[in-house]
Amino acid sequence: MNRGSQGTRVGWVIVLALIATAGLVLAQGAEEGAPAYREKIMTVNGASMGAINDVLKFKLPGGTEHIVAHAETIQRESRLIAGAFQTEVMTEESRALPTIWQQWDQFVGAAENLGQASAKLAEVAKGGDQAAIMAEVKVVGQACSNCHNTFRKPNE
Amino acid sequence: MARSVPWLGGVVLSLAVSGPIPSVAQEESAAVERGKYIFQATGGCGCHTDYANGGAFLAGGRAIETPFGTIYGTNITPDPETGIGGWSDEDFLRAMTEGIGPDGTMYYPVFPYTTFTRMTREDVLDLRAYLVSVPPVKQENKPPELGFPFSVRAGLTAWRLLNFDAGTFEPLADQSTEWNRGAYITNALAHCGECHTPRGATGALNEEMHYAGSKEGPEGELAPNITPDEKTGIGSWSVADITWFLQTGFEPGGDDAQGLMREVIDHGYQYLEASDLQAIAAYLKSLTAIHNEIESTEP
Repeated sequence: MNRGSQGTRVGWVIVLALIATAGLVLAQGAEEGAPAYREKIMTVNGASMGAINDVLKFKLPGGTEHIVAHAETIQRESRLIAGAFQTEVMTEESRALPTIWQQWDQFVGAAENLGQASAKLAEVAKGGDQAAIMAEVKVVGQACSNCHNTFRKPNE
Repeated sequence: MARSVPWLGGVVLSLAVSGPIPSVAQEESAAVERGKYIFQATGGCGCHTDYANGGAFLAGGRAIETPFGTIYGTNITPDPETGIGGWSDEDFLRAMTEGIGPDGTMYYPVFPYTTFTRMTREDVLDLRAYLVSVPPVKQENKPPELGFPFSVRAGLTAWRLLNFDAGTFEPLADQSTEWNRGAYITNALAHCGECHTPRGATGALNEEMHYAGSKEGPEGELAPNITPDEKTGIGSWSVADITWFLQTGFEPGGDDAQGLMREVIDHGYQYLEASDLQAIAAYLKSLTAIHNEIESTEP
């Protein structure tokens, strides 16, 4: 073995070590950031749903136009849920349950269900029929609840 | 079911004086409709349907975990052998308001007869009219699985003497019609206290902590404090917030109800008239605020 090839091997070892280290750092970064990121997405959904409730509950000006906008926000955010939860990590503060990753397909299905329900709410809201809007709000609520019942720790 | 069937002379006289009176079938139909509303006001009698295992509607079998052991919801479909099909009106009234079955069996108070005793006779019988209108299902009841001494029903005699105060709801003259309606629905029909009032060592409700929440709610769930305490209860919720929550399951912040609360909303409360939900809200807002933080005791 000549000096040159030994040097090349050392070089490759260093490169591989750097790649592995970078991978570890990235993985650690994802683990660190994932709970806060997914919480932000769910917070947006909760706030949007809360806003829809306020518009209907207090008969606020803006009415159906606002409901459409908030429902579309929920629909858009629902497409991000599966990606946001891909990294399996739980913290003491997080309310995510292990069932998310144990029953991954059902979890993704529940997120898709929310997307469909919120899309329907947006569509119905454009028509302005209050009774129909109310019915769809309840459907979205059931989509939220079905998912939370299985995949989120109860309120404390 | 034939209740208040007028005798022929009365029918003729009524026809002559005030036009057609409802037929027996019409009366029964109206009673079923009223009974369905009462059923919804109770939250849909969910203990009697084993939803988690795809059980038949109201056919029983649902396991209800208590600190004393497991009790199974009973079959309240009109099947004559395994359900309530063979019961008379008086049998049903006695079961609902006294906690005693047609054969004299004393019921465990996991069946909230201690609350339903506040119901009016009319509402109980309307509820029965609805229950006997649903499809009958032949399904035997499961015996309770309770450890000694709770497995001995005779012990309930002493429990009842100490804890059971029978009697129909009495409206308060110095309160509004809305308040009294809210108090009746909350305390007699919706049986909110069965979850939201903590229990003492014998399993009886601790009325000094009326609606202040329970760490040991049914099926191990936490039941929130629903008194108007600003920090630990729902003092920050308006009448509109409470009404909306009972209609949709959404809290003011946008989060949703889960577990048993979701069930009673989905199967019952959401169908109540807005005026009744507002009456419940007005009643809850009038309660004495009790500071009682409900948190999980699990590590």
